Amino acid sequence: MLTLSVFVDAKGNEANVVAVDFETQIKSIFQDNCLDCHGVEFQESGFRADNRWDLVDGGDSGEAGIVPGDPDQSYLIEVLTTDDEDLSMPYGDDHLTDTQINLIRRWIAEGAIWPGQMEAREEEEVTLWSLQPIERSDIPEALDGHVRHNDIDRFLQCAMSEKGLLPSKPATPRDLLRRLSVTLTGFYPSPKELVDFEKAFHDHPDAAYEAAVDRLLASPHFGERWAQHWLDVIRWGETTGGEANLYRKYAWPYRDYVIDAFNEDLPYDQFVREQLAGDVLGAPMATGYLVAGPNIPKSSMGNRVEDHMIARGNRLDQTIQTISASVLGMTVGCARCHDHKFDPISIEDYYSMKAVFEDLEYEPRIPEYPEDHPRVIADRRLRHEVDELRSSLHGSTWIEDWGAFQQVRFPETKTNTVRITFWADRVVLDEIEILDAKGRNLLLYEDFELTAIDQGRTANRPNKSLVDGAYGGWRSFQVNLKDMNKRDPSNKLQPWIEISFKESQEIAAINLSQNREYFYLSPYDDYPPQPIRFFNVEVEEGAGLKPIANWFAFQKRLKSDASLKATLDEIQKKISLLNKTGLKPMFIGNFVKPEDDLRSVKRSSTDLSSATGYISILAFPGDTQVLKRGDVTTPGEVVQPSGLSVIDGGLELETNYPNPERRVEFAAWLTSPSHPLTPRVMVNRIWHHVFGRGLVSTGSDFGQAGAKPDHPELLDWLANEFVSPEDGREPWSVKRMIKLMVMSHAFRQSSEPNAKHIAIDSDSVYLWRYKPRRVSAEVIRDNILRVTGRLSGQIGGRGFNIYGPKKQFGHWHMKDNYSEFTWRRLIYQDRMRRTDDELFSVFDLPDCGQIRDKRAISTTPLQALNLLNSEFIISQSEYLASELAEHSDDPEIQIERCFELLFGRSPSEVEQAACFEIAASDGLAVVCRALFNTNEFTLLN
Amino acid sequence: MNDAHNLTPRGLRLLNRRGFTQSFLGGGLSLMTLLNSDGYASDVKPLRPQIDPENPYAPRSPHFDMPAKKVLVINLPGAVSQVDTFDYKPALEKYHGKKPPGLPEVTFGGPTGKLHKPFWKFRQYGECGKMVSDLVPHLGALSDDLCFIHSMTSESSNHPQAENFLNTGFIMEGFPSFGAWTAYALGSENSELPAFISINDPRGMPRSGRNNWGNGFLPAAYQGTDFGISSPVKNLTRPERLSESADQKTVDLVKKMNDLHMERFPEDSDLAARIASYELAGRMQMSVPEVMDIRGEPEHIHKLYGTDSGSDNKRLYAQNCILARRLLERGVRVVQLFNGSDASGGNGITNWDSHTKMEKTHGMQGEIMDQPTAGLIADMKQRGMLEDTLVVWATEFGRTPFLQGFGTGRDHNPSGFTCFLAGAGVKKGFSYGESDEWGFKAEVDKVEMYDFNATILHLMGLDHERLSYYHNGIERRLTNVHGHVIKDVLA
Repeated sequence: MLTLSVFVDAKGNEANVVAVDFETQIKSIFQDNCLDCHGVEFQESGFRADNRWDLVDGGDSGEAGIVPGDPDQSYLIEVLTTDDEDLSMPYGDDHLTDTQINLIRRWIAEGAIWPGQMEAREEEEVTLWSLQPIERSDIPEALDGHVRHNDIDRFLQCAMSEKGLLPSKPATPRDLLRRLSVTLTGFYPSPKELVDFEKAFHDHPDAAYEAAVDRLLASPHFGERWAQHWLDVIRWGETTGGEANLYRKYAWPYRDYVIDAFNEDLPYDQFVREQLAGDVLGAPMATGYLVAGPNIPKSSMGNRVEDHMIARGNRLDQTIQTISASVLGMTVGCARCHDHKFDPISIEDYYSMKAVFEDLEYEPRIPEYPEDHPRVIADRRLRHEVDELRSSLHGSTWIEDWGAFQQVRFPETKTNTVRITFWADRVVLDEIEILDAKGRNLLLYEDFELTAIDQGRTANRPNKSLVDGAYGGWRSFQVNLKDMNKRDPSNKLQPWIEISFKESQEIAAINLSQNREYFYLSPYDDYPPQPIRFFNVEVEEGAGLKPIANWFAFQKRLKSDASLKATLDEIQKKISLLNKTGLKPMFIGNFVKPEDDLRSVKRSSTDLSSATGYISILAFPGDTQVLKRGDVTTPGEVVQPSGLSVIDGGLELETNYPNPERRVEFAAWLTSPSHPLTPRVMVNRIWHHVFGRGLVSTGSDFGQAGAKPDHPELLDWLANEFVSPEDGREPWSVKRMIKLMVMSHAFRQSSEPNAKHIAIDSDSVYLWRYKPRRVSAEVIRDNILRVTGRLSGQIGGRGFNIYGPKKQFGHWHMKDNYSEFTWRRLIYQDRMRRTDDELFSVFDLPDCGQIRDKRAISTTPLQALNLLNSEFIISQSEYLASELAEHSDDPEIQIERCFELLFGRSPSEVEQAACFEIAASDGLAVVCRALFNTNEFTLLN
Repeated sequence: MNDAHNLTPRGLRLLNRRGFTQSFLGGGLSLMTLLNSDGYASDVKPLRPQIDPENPYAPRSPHFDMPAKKVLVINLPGAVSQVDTFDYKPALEKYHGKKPPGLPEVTFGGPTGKLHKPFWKFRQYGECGKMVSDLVPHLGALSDDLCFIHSMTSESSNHPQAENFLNTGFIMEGFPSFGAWTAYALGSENSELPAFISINDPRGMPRSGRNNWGNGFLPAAYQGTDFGISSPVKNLTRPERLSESADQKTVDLVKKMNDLHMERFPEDSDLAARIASYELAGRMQMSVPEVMDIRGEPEHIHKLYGTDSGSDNKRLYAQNCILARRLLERGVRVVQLFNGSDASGGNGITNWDSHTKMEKTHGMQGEIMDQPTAGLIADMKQRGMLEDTLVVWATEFGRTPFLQGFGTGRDHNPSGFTCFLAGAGVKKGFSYGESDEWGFKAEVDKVEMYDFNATILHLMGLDHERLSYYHNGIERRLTNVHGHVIKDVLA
């Protein structure tokens, strides 16, 4: 078929030419040059050129391969003509001829006619099992003759029978209570609990067991145990990671939130919603979730603009990883640079999800407390008292020390220009604020120009970050005259900073700070934030500058003016009280708020393109663009905030929709009862922690590369029961699901091995027995402290820090991991990333660097050495020995008691004899040390 | 492959039992099965090491035979200046004090200054005629044994991230280190010491600390165990207030209790592994003090390494060098040796990060590093150890050929720098790749860190594309999805 069309050549001449024919003119070019790497067999870079649909869709770069009618917008033409060796195609030295390229150009310009492929491709069906709607599976017929407690057993026994497996007999009451107790609370039962249970069990086994389940689910230690599982998944840590590995001093309120949420059985959908948008849902601490992962602090980022843009991308990427691993069970992060290799997640999906969180920063924020919160009340009262004290100083000039910053106060003045000159050898500033009488920072609202003169010698950081309202970037302005070898003593010029407003302003105070980030988060022992000193503030008046606040003059006046000093002392007292009891920034993520729109305009004026710009925070609200190949220097199309498109994630939001609402809408999508992933992923997590292995063994990857469910019908039945309970009880209840699982015979059966069954199913995937498992670091340590009677019962609150104070660019070093202040559950041990606690790190205690949906179980000789020789074990052995001595004078009873405490059973004669002999010759503590090290103490069966 | 004589009877039984790796590897294996049965997206299939749960350090076969059985990785944190050591650039003399067009205005530390000639004189060494500076004369004298790569590049200009990139293949933390990957794949020839040992600089840990020898998502058994002459293994010995006999009775009682307990779970490989780990711990308590005790080394060896130096930093580093050799001699698979620590050392010179006063700072660091390192390589050579040991000398990035604006030091430079290899499987007296005329950017045969790591894995007989581990949705590799073996440096 020949078609005549008008073709415009390079010079703009129109010519009537015969249209390009695909079959005869184009097909062979593709075949000879492209299809080896981009055909049926291989799809380098996810790109395919053997059909029109894939050609139009493009490959991993996310760009359309061809845009019919528009060769200039077609990526194919770009790669055929570019000089960039990395991009240039065909790969290697052979290029297409100009004639061939022109033919392709014309073909595209004419609409890329590909006979037989001009109709839209039929929608590919999504085949991934985890994306199919959850339907309540039919419960299989009960099989005769098996012990059964609920519907879970029907599913399992049906699958078992197909494999020729039979469920095991019930576990002994002691084994059962021990198993249940650790699973629910992380503690072994006490000897008394065991005796009581055994007695009750003897009379009414089912009732006794259910009572124990209810008692343990109601224990406040339940929340501690289950919170840790959640914190593992999101790799929550209390330092930033990176070289500075900055302390997140007030991150722990989020841990308390999680513990409370599990204890109160907060419905899981609400738990998720609050963690995504707690700032507007009345649960401010919950948003600690969004900043659980690591970030590299600004102070160790250097000067290259790209590095700052990449770092911002990395921070949000951590957030996306957190959400996708913990709730979605999908590896969305894989789509940052290209469409996901296995799963139906596109690069657009990734950036649409990023758009939801564009208001987030890895910074502390003051939580949104209710009006009647004690901190709100204290803060208001104290600020009022400070203002009253200040009014008595009206008309004079003074300096207040707010810890984080110095506030220079002076009589209100109208001026265009403020200049601050420094007489110090070393000046380091992170931020300057110029306040009006209402305390508003004018620099965020008014137009001005900034000049910073440091004598042209050590312009370490360009200065926009000095005035952006974002703290950190501690060397926004830095002068170190001492460092300069050739300081000219005759040089009277001093470094200064000048701010010239476009229109004159009423100003009342100036805040100067060296490093607020460190003050709020992590004071280093070798670098505490220093008060800013030796400065002189001048304002423009008439033709010249007039001094308005001079540090030297103020110090002098402070010595002579007793009433000023007395008032100021009073003010300082109020300030330190404020810092203690008032509003305090906490590490739960910071959000650019809608009312910050004005200042965000200022922020967006930060010059991202300038080679000397310094970004402290990105513009808000701003559009989110796809970054081709994940590269910040190649932004692509603008995307709207939304969830995953394959799960109808479109939120119908415009790009300028306010951010908190974006998060609320996204959370609503994520927690819809019909969401195929959220309920499946969570019931699977619960199952994993109850049975030691998930129904899907890759708990945070329900994608193509993850494992398939061992019992798909059971998983779906559970997921459905989670969100739509048949008996009409509260949906999304985690405790209800746990109870359902531990009430099953699968959980209550014996763990005894059975050679015939092991030969069929060595991993007990079919749950023909309860598979014995090693306990975690927490269970070992918490139970040692508990049996020695040394464990503090305090639940929640600030944790304990086993590391010494840290130097700015130094490491956290373990200082004391055994003294009394450490005698709390391990969940309260400050979780510094990338550290060694010299005790339990080798027991696979996560270092919070990576998502951990399940703990590895490794065995190394270092575990043995730590459990034999550490001061913690030695001293705890001695405590246990003295506790046992309190219990009885009789060595046999002491040993008996020791076995009851550690193993929940009496010693055999052989064991009693062996222990007795050692206790007699070397003391009971030696026996305790040995028993802490046994397999039995670390095995749950 | 497991050497049968290294296994206890129980280990052998476990090895023969169907599915023991399954119980040890858990989810990892189910994925492998999945990928193999459903067809992996690529034709490259992972090669899983067969790990004996009772002895995770047992030796295992490489993917293919190569001369190197062990590897010494010398890390130089802080960034060594290539133009002041091994990358000779006469143009710097000519253009000293000038700022030719094309060089950047801003680098990591701020505005850039002018080109500066090398702070040390270069001279020619050996048959290969290599030009090496007077900062590292002892290493220069070994030029005929070394294989330089002058076109190295990194993707971060920040020390800790670049350390991560060098040692784990990723900028971010939390990924397994080269040593952990190698120990995971190959185990160790010595069953009384960990397979991977990391010797820190006497002044402390490098910037990215434990991440440099971390196991990431690999089992904890493969993390580097860090100790050195001045920092012994934690909790290695019994506390003083316990007598030797009480200690022995503890161990005996643990064993007795565990044996009784095993009768209930005779088939449980995990319990057996835990028993074995106590035996290994007992052997470590004997072997570590023995290997750490270098007093018996002859006088001329101490002299060769420079342990007679008056400077603490050099003396202790030299002692660590002797320790490194002793560990390798005893069959430890991977020894990582650091020359440089984090920046908190106090006296200002803690590593190679010379932002001021190049002559003084690099000078002090060179004095500490050169003789002991060269002594170590020469000593390994004279003992024939280079026949089966690979030596890697690597810094996380280089330094700029120009000074910092208004400064006296050289700034960070990830765009071109020098590392060297030596020993088993590597060309001798060879230089690969070139930087531009200033020694600033890699220009000829550019080497990415992925290529470098692919090459050292290859030298250890490991295919970097098949040495992988399933973690959270991805078959993870040391080289991510990149890397080409540099064939030209292979002997």
